[in-house]
Amino acid sequence: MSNSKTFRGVNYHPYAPWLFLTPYIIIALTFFLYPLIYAGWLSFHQTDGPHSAVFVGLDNFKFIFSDPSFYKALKNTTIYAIASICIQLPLSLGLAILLNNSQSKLKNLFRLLIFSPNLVGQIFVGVLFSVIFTPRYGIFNIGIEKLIHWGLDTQWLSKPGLIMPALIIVSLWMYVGYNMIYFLAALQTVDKQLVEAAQIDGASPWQVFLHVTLPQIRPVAVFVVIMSTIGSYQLFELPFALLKSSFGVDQAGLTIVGYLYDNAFNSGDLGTGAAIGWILAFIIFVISIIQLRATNSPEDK
Amino acid sequence: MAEIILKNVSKVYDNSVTAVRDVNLEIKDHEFMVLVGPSGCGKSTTLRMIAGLEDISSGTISVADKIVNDVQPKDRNLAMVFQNYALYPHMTVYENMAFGLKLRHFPKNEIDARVKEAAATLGLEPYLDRYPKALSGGQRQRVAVGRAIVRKPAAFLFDEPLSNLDAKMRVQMRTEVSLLHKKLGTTMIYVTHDQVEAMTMGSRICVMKDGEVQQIDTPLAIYDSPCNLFVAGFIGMPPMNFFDGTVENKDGSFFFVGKAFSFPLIKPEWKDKLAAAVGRKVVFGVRPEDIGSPSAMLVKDAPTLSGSLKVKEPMGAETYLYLDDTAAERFIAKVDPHMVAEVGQSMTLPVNPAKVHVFDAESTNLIV
Ligand SMILES: Nc1ncnc2c1ncn2[C@@H]1O[C@H](COP(=O)(O)OP(=O)(O)OP(=O)(O)O)[C@@H](O)[C@H]1O
Ligand SMILES: [Mg+2]
Repeated sequence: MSNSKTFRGVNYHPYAPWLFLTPYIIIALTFFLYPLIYAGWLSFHQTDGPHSAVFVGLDNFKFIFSDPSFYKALKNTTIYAIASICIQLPLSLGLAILLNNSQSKLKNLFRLLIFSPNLVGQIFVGVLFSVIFTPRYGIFNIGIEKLIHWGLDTQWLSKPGLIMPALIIVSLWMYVGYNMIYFLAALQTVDKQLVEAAQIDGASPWQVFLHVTLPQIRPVAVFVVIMSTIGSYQLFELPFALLKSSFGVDQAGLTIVGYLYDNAFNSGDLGTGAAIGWILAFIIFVISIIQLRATNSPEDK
Repeated sequence: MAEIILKNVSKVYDNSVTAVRDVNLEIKDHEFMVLVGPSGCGKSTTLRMIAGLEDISSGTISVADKIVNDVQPKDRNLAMVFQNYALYPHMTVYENMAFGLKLRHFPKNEIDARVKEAAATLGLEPYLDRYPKALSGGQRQRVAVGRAIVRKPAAFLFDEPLSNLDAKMRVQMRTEVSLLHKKLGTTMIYVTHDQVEAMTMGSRICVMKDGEVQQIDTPLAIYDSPCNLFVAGFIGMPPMNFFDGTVENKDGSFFFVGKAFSFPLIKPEWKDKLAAAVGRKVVFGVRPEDIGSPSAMLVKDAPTLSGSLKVKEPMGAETYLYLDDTAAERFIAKVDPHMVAEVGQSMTLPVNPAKVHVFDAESTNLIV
């Protein structure tokens, strides 16, 4: 057959690959590319519905960049993202290492227990913790009172300075196990012989971790860092539910997506909402590129 | 430089597999000791216990007169070369070799000098800035060796370091490792399942089977007087020919009497041992190179073995003849490649009577 091609000894019609790709292409065009472009178009328009768009140039962007609430949201979200990466991920990795080295028969049970919180979703966790954080009667405050004899009446969710810490604690509980699973999977692929070679070369356990384990799990670690950053910048439901459909006192729980939601649906300004969406996409894009660059491994160059 | 002594060392794994049983082994300073045996006989386990990578279930291991049972691998001052190299993939060749020295806080210029020296010895100078994935198998193995020698350890441990290389590379590296041993004079323990490597490299060989030591001696001593049937069959290629039968005394002369032939056992110093074995079931052993070979041809009035030729394998330097005797016992003769022999023909070949062996069939131990 003159118009057939060969892959690993199998003959196929030249159109066959496209046939297999069609479902993906259709889905990507409809649900990804079209909304993206439409949102881009929308961000330059003043609109309260699909049939009444007025071109306003950069007005939406000008409004956003002059709105103190935007900067508040950007700051809150960034603090949350940094906390996720600097507190949550090391903890996830630590737990993964503990589980990986454990000989315990309960290993799988622990893995499931630590992983399970994120299965229920942010709204449920938000509602749950709005109860748990109740001053005087919530189990969180009772717990720390028992531990350090302080904090029984702490108003986690109504003091502006405490909302972000509360949020970080909740997301720690919710996501630490999720990221741990990635690390655990990566740790299980670490070549045991490299570890042994390093031990014989004179490395202490910490040095083995630093010079062998960490470089070996680097690709997964980079992936987890980037996914965590993206996830953090998309934070919305958790504070929204935790703070009972508000953005908290003094907007202390306002995130970028919260700000988007507020503009698009509370104020009904879809154009500004779309513009915020694009700004958020740009921020995530830039941070991901920086992270990828910073963590590039030497042997891949 | 160090002596390594294993006393009654055993290893039982968690799944209650006894991988090593009561091993006693004294490796002298400067010695090249080869542990050889079939797959699963506990060679790696023994080596890993010496390295400290595996707990010792019972017995003691000492390095340089110090018992190291509870010493961490990093503090034993040994270096190990692994079968699949175990190079750090994220480090260059230079960094791989320098790693152990860096951890021990050697000054930079000392590290540099040692790495460069090792690289020169191993012909690795052009590759110092490469990553392991850009090297061939032979080059990787050299880096692994280099990583070991820069540390100037008390002893080197090798676990089948050449088995991932192609045949030609293996022969070349074999010589290089031997030369390295001559040059450095450091104690080496070398694990292999390849009896040719064992024969060619070892100052002494320790043959193991099922976790137990069978025989420890110099290569030639093991070759010439293997202590039992297993060692006799394991060392030597093609393996020793075996025939079942009994020892008989005919008017003061001893004979092996088998199914198809009887064979005189002539050495005077064998007499006492043979006398004790008369009537017992034995296994008669002859190496292929003592049957019909140029050296066997030179023996005056040599006894012979006869058989019909089934297969002929010319190897170039010699030819292997596969023959069946009248009792259909297959044996191999290593003969001159120019000997005239047609498949199907029956042949009578001289045997060097001083080189044959008799083993007790029950205990499998060597009688003579
Ligand atoms: N980690 C382990 N857990 C349980 N049993 C093991 C373990 N490692 C090895 N064994 C068993 O111990 C025995 C000896 O293994 P070892 O690796 O020492 O053999 P070896 O002589 O090195 O063999 P090879 O030539 O195949 O490398 C084998 O029966 C093996 O199945
Ligand atoms: Mg082995």
